Formats: sequence, structure tokens, C-alpha cells
Amino acid sequence: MSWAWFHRFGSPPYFYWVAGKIAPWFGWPSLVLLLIGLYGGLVLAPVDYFQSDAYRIIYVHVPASWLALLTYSTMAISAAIGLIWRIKIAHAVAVACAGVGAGFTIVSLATGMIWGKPTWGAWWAWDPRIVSQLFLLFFFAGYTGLRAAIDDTDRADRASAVLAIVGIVNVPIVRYSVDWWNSLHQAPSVMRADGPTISWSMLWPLLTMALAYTFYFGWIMLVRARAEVLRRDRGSNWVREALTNEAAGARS
Amino acid sequence: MQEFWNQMHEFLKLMQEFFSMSGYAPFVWPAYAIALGALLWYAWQARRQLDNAREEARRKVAMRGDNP
Amino acid sequence: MTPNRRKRLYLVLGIVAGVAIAGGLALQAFRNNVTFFFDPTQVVAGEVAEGKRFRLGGMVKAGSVQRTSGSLETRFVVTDFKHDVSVRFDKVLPDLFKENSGVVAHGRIDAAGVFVADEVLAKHDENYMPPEVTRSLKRGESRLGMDEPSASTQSAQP
Repeated sequence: MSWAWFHRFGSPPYFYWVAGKIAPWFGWPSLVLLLIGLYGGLVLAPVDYFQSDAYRIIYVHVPASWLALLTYSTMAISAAIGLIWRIKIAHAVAVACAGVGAGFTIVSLATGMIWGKPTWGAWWAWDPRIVSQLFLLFFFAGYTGLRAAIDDTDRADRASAVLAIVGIVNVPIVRYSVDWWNSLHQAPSVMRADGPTISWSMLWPLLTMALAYTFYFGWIMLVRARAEVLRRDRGSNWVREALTNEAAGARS
Repeated sequence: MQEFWNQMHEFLKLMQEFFSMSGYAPFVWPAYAIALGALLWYAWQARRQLDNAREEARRKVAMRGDNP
Repeated sequence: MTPNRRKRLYLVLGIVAGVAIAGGLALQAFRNNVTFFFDPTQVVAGEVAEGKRFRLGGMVKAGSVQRTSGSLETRFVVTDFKHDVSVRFDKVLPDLFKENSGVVAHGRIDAAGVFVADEVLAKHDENYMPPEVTRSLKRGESRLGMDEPSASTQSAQP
């Protein structure tokens, strides 16, 4: 297997250019899918036999929760690649994941609390799923905090990468918490071995929203990573050339 | 005319039913507001970060003397 | 791969393995603190220290809910379809508290062996479907046995 593509992505000018080209291919589909998913979830999907209309919170809670895990995994794997192969772009991608991942986690926890009150009867419970999700937030915050405390970018990359790698252990704990321990939180409805336990009329808007969030993550990660790459290499020759090209492109 | 008002009334009743979410409106709508607000806020923030990074890089280049 | 990269790769894998093992051991040691509730079988088996406050979880046994007129006091039986525990509660129950559905109660067992709860939470399961589907299921038109004590609603004890 040739690793040429791998190293090409590690080149900042190439990454900056290619990320700018493909970002819209994530951004616009995300917007379209989001509108379809919202209409499907709020209007087309029927009420639930048990939770009535309260269950509709699932369409914003579950995609945010999935994306929190996806973002953390992407961040930790990028950080590990950056650490092992000393690729700066990988660290820039990890940085791009951290801020938005914390956002997904907060949305997941907040919408979960709002869902918990009318169904469980409590805003909060020290349930294994909720506590492990809270840990995920701490790892995101720890990553960002640790970087903020170290001035030198290379040293910040390495130290924060180790923290991100340690936190990856929490990802399967979040996923399997509801299987391993008695919990108030329900067991998975979609990602289960025996197939989804949610009617198709309610499932398709959920899958659409999850896909919309995934595309949104792709878009925002690329935009943030581009900003991070520019910030790191400001003053370098390739940045000067890239900006010149962009200015020429805007004029024509 | 009477027909129009009847239809209007029906429509408003449907809308009211939709927005009430079987009485769960105080939970459903804030949850959606938080989720969509976060998506918009992070999108705006990402665009701003990229613009700021470009601006700063341009300043750095200008300081070196050659203008892009 | 250069020797340096290989060394760093092993280091990263070592960190992950080490943290995973340490975390696994810690979670195993504090198993009873991590779990959110105990089910009736665990309670009957004496896994809960006597007189200690704990959470009891399971299904509300069909036909077991008794309301006392003139007060909020409710008595019901929590079951895991193997063992039963009687519960007494004198506050407002959550909307989704229903017979044959999940519940988690916080309290302690009194001298008479009744679990006196000061907080009751409703636990809904992972099944979502339109009301028409449940009605047809109740008439026995589908293979999916919703009235069965489905193992999934019991958040399966491994």
C-alpha cells in the first residue's frame, strides 16, 4: 500500500486547498438533510404510544450524542496520528474537533435533561450513561484547557494528544454503559444486534438527522481545521501564495 | 366568505395542536431551540475563526512588505 | 515505519491498554456504586446492606397498584419476573408511571420488609411505535409480544 496520499494530506498547503474545496460538499447537504429531518421528525412522524409527543426530543438528542462520540473518536485518533507520525495537520484536525465536540456533548446533556423531566420525572440522575457522558465533556474541556495553558504549539500538541488518547477509553464506556450496568437511561433503540426497536415511520427522520449532523461535523471540522492551519503557519510562504490565489479568485 | 373563515379556523386549530405538542411544548421546543441554536452558533463561530485567521495572516504578510 | 515511529506507536497502544485495564478494574471494584439500581433478585439475594438507602428498579407488576383514597399514598409491587418487592410511596408519581412498565424507586426497606420510597422515577424502554401498532399488537396480530416481560425492558442483567 502506498502512503503517498497520507503524506500529501500532511502538507499544509495541500490540506488547506483540498479542505476548502470539499467543505461545501458537506455543508450544503447537511442543511438540506437537516430541513428534511426536522420536517419528518416534527410533522410526519406519528406520536409514540408511551411518551406521546415528548419522544420527539429524540431527533435532536440522539444525533448530538452520536456526534459527541464520533467527534471525540476523530479527535483522539487524529491526535494519536499526530503524535506517532509527527504530522502537524493531524493535530490541527484534533484542535478543530475539540471545541465543536464539547458543544455536541453539552447539547446532548441539555436535551437529555429536558427529556428526562417529563418522562423519568427528574432533570438529572447519577446514571452510568449520564455520568460517562459528563466525563466526555470533561475530556473535551481538559484537552482545550491543557492547550490554553501551554504557549509552545508543539509541546501543547504532544501534551494534549496524550490526554485525548487516555480519554478514548471512555468512548466504549459511554456506548455500553446501558448494557453493562442497571441504568435509568433506556437501552439502545437503533444500534443493536437484533435490529432497531423503533418503528420505521419514526426511525427515518432520526437517521436523516444523524446524517445531517454527520455532514455538519464534516463541514465545521474542515472550516475550523483550515483556520487552525492558517493560524499556525501565518507568515509562511505558502500562506502568502494561498492568500494571493484566493484574492485573485475573488476578483475574477 | 363563511367558508374561508371556517377553513381559517380549522387551520389555526391544527397549528395550535401542532405547537402544543400534546402538552409537552415547554419541553420539546426548548430542546429544539438549544440544539439548533448550537448548530447555528458553532457554524457562525467557525466562519469567523477562518476570517480572523485570514485577516491575521494578511497582516503578517503585509508586515513583511509584499502585498498579496 | 521508522524505529522512532514504531516506538511511539507502541507507547500510544501501551497507554490505551494501561488506562483500559486500570479503568476496567476500578469499575469492577466499584460495581455496586456504578450501577444505578438493584433489581428484586439482587435485593432478595442480600446484595444490599441492611438498612441502607438504595435504588430499587424493575417493572411495576400488573394489577399491583393500590391507591389509598384521601391521600397520595400508593402501594405497588416491583418485579423482575423472578422476585417481587413491595413498595410504598406517598408523593406524586411521574406521568409515565404505569403498570407493566419500568420504574426506579429510591428509599430503604423498613422493619416489615416493605420498600419505603421517597423518590420514584419512571423508566421508559427502547421501544418506539405509533399507538395503532400497540393496539394491533394487543389484539395479537403481530409476532412482537409487547405484553411479554421482554428481556430488553429489564435492561438485561448480564
